[in-house]
Amino acid sequence: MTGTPFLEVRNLTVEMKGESGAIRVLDDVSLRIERGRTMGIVGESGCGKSMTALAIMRLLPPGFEITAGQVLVEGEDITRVPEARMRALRGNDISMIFQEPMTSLNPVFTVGDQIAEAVKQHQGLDAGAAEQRAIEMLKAVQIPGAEARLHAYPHEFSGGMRQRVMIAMALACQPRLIIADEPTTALDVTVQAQIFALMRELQQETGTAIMLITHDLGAVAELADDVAVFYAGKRIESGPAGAILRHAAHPYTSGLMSCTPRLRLSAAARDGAAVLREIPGMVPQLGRMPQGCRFAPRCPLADDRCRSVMPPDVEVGPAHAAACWKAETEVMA
Amino acid sequence: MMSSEPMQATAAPVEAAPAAKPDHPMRETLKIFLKNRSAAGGLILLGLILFATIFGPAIYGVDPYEMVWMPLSPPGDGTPLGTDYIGRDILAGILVGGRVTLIVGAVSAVMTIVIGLVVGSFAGFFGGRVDAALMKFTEFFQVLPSLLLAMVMVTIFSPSLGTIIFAIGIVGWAQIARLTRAEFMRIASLEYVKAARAAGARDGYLMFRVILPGSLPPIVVASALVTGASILFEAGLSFLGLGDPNQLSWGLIIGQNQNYLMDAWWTVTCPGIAIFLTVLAISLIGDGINDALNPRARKRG
Repeated sequence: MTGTPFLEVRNLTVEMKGESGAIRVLDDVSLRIERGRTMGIVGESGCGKSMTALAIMRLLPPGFEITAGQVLVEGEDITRVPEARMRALRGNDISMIFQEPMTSLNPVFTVGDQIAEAVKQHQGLDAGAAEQRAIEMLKAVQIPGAEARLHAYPHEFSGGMRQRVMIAMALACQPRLIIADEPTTALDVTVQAQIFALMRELQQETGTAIMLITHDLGAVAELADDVAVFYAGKRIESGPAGAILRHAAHPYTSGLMSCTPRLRLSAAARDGAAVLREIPGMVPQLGRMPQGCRFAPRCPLADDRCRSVMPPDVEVGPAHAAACWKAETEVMA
Repeated sequence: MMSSEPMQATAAPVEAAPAAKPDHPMRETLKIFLKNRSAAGGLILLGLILFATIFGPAIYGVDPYEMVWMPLSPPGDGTPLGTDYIGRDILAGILVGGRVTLIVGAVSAVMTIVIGLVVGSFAGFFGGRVDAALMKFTEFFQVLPSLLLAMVMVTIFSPSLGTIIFAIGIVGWAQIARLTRAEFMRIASLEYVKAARAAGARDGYLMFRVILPGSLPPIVVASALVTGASILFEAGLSFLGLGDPNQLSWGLIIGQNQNYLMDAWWTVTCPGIAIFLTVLAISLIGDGINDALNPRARKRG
């Protein structure tokens, strides 16, 4: 945890330039991803999780722009480097796994070609060596009969197998950070567990850092070392996964956790502990943010100060921060 | 029904035995194409026409520019397909003229397709201002009456093979450009293009290795239609007397003999049938490609 982290996002602000002026989709977001660790990014749909990932990759859709802040990869601010440098980083140092394994592979090329392509481009391997690497990668992601499957087309694979191929592609150049944008959302629960186990195993072997974007707290508990919670374009809480899951400092985080269904023994269920709660209200619309804390309209603890002044990040424990006026420190909780 | 069930039956053993060689999508498409009777018929017809124009003149051995018989003598009366108004052999003319017609048609179709593909892919890929500018340019060509534009161009420059090919090529590319642009826009928004970009792919690689292969099916079909249209265009220009007068072509034979249409039908009908069969063959092939590439258009049973 000492020295410069692999990736540091400092006060990142992303705006969408529309006809009715600029709308902030990410507001003053800061993150640190350490080498070899897994950072879970949690939040509801539309809270800026994927936007953060795309901003880091500098692949924001047209109309979106980084208007403030820095993205430091080992100290190099990549928001300002030329596009050619960015292309060299993408796929080689930072790679990305997308949500939809069914559509993330090009249907007209074999999976072997697709894995080999990135290796050829970034590491200058010739066709034979690249194919060899592709076989190794397919073996690493535990695809049976790797040599034969090399020449298969994506439509011959199941969803879970395709996501394995995507992971193989992402890992082929031995990147130091993998951004996984909801990698298992489209998969069965059993396949999810396999993919997580595989990712954990590969991380131990290669020492790559993972940024896991998810709305599944179960995935976070299973895989993440650190967690950052997003709400309406702001990072509202961050810290070690264990600390956050045990003592969520922000009311949104604790609300989010009580929304997660858990299987309990029948004795506990009889006590009424199995009631699934929800967070009342809706995420505020982008561009119509409340003046103070963005969660205030839905927060059970909100008072006048919450509604008028944006809370700063408060240190609530070791490496654990929350943007809430009511946040209690871990010691007190 | 017949075509879908055997495919599913072969899919299962592939899963079970990974050693089995998977079928390339192109090979599968080719199989479906060849099973289609009208497409196979079109392919055979086009093959016969190509054979006739390439080897026909040498086999038949009659000079199409020479007076060989009585002017306007009917078919069978000394020559197989009759003679024209100055006594030249119509069959020899069709065999030799086919070369010019087919070459002009094919080359100008290639030109049409290449211009359309380049303009459309840049517009669709880069979007924004590039798209707006290129589409304005495309619309300019789309609103001009194409036959008129081609006629004006051939008239301004002297009517030689080069100018005719250029004139036909320049008037037809707009629809290919629009089609390519639409396909590029559709495919550029798909996840696998984003994934390729996130893997560090360059624009050129994304355009021509990632997006283009996926957008080819409708473009290939349109290209077949464009080839047929180019042949018709060449015939039309020649008929109007705007072809190269020194190069015998099907359109030219029809154009030169149009005054004798009422007295000697064969002078016009025979080259007309040649044009008809060629365009028909190409259209059947295009239709077959469409059926093979587009699973929803595949005929059931």
